[in-house]
Amino acid sequence: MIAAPLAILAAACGGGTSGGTSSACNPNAVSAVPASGGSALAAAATARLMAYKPSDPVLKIGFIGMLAGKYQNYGIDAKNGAQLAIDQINSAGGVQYQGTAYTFQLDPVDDNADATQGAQNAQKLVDDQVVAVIGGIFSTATIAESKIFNDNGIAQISPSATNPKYTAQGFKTAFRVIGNDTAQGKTDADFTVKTLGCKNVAILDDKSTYGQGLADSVNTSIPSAGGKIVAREHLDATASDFTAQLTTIKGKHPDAIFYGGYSAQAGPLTSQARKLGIKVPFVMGDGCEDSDYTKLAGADADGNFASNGGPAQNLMSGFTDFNTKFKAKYSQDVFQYAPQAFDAANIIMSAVKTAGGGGGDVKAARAAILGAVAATKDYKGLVQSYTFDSKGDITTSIFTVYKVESGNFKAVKAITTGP
Amino acid sequence: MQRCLDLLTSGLTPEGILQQLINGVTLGSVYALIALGYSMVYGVLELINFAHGDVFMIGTFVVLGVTGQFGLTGRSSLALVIPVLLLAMIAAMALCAVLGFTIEKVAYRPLRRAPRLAPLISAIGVSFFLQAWIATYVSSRDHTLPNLLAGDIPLYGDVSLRYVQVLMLVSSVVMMVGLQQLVRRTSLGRGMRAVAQDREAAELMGVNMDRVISFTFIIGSALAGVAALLWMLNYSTNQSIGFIAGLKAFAAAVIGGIGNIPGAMLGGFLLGLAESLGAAYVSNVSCGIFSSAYEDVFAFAFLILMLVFRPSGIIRERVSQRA
Repeated sequence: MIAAPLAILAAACGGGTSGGTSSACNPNAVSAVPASGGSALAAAATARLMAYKPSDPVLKIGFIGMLAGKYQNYGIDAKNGAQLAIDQINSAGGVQYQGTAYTFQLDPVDDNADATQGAQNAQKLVDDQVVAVIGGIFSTATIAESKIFNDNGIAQISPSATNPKYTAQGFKTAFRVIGNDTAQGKTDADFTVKTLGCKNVAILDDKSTYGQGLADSVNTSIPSAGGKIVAREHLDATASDFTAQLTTIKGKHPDAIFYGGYSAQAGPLTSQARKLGIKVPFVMGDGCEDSDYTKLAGADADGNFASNGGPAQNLMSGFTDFNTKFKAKYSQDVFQYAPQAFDAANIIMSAVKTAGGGGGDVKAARAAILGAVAATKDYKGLVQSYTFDSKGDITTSIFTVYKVESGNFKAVKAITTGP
Repeated sequence: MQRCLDLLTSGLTPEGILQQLINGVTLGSVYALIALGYSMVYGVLELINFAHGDVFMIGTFVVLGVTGQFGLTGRSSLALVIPVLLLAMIAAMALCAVLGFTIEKVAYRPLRRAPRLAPLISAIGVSFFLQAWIATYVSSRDHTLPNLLAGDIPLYGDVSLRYVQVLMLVSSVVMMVGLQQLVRRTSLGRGMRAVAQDREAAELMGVNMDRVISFTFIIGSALAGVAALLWMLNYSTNQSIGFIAGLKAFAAAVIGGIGNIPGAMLGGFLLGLAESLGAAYVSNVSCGIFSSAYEDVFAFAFLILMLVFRPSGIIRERVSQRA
């Protein structure tokens, strides 16, 4: 899995007790924001407006993501989010278009976060006559699936895949409702230089598609944010000893270190840096914002930062109401991408409202939905307001930066990145 | 051209080089300890024990288990930390030794007269088994220890020697000298040398070959247990750590001249240095063409060059021919 797994493992990389060495750079200037009172979710009408008639067309919406295996939590959570949106619309009588009431049915398949299985099961969804798809969850699988959906003219909206390549293949059918890694890199660079005031930044990555991609984006954005890159180092994702790279970085006296990679390395990396006497904060991406980081870095985790896509749950208006409904139905709290998948499902169903569902013709339904999804403009969802650009990315993405305090990631700042 | 000169002069400071040398030697001392296990077994049996890296990996989990039992944190006092670390080391040595002994009995002994490839494949099988066992029944995540021995000795400018590094160096050198004495001066060592030289002749002369081979595995594995403790004081572990650490230690054994104790030690130090200096300076000396991403490429290119010029390693004799 390329970019997405991180997002999946959304947790924050924490840092140790870090005091910036430079006078301008003060990582302690930001602290956790208290939870805002959840305003009521845009209440879905619960009144049953119409009785369901068996003759009315039912449109199938596909869902693809890991539903069994190591990261199944992410897939199941997103699937439940999509299902909740569909149930709300169906119980309100479905969607009306020119006298026809369309209702919806979710068709979930497992891609095991794997490109091969993803492509196979994407084909299965095509054969199942789905009219649009929500998924995949991880980038590698999502990119493999996107070709199948593109070949068949089916709109695909990923709630979580962040690798830039997904929407850069020239496919008219690929969309996502989360900011990509290029936008995240820009966010991390702005946060480091402007919010923390850390001008001299060292950049490290793990050479993975995700880690290096994110670090490259930060590398490009630091100078435009007014900062300076004092070191650009790489480590091996299988290595355990990072002291050589850290010693080089220490000699360059940075104010902050950006790390692009996953928490499995970020945790030990942070500890080794502290052992070498490097006291500046680490800033990391969504691959590190998880409990693995805080566990591996231990006491050294405090004071470090990690960003993740979307607003923090406690900063998302309407989240409390959403979570209550979610929990009532699935007996568990929202884990990660359910809100994004909920929005993706609603964007698809709202496309049917605009352009219709083909009146029984699946090909016509796919074309109508694809056209209307691509034209999505200022659609107010649970997470944010969505407008797709010509590539299928959202024009405005929200990221949240988390800081480790007492061993846990706490949201400290939401950053909106414009087009 | 000017840029290259700048890179060279800005990157290569005496302080930086000294610190990287210290880093390299300490990393190398752990490689050396693991390398001894490969080298001894090869010297005596001419078998490359690919499961040795995984014995080391099991050792790291034993260390985690023992220190976890006592709930050590970065703030624990030395009066608690030192006895617990000693206990962890003894436990890791003992468990690794039992494991090494068992692996030899179960996986290699029945194949002792089989073609050379059979025990090699058996070794790879044991390696997979140990990794899968840890991943399934213990953990498939990464683990670290808290910073137990904080503090350092300032040497020169920014350069310092951390207590952990001192411990790593001292204990690995002590272990290696001890092993050397054991091979040279004890009757067990004499038996090892005899079996290495000519297995059948040694048996005819009354050397208990099974016992000698068992002890070779026990000693090599116990040293991997010591390496496991030193590793955990600095680095992290997971179920596949034995593969990478083992591969590097094996490379160190080959550089030094496999089958040879001082050679394994020398090879370990050289590989650690090549890795540290490579990661730190490959960009400076290559005019920025190569980045620190090439650290392993650098280390293994060094291995290939060494072998081109000295195909049997730095020290050519095997356990048997020495002393």
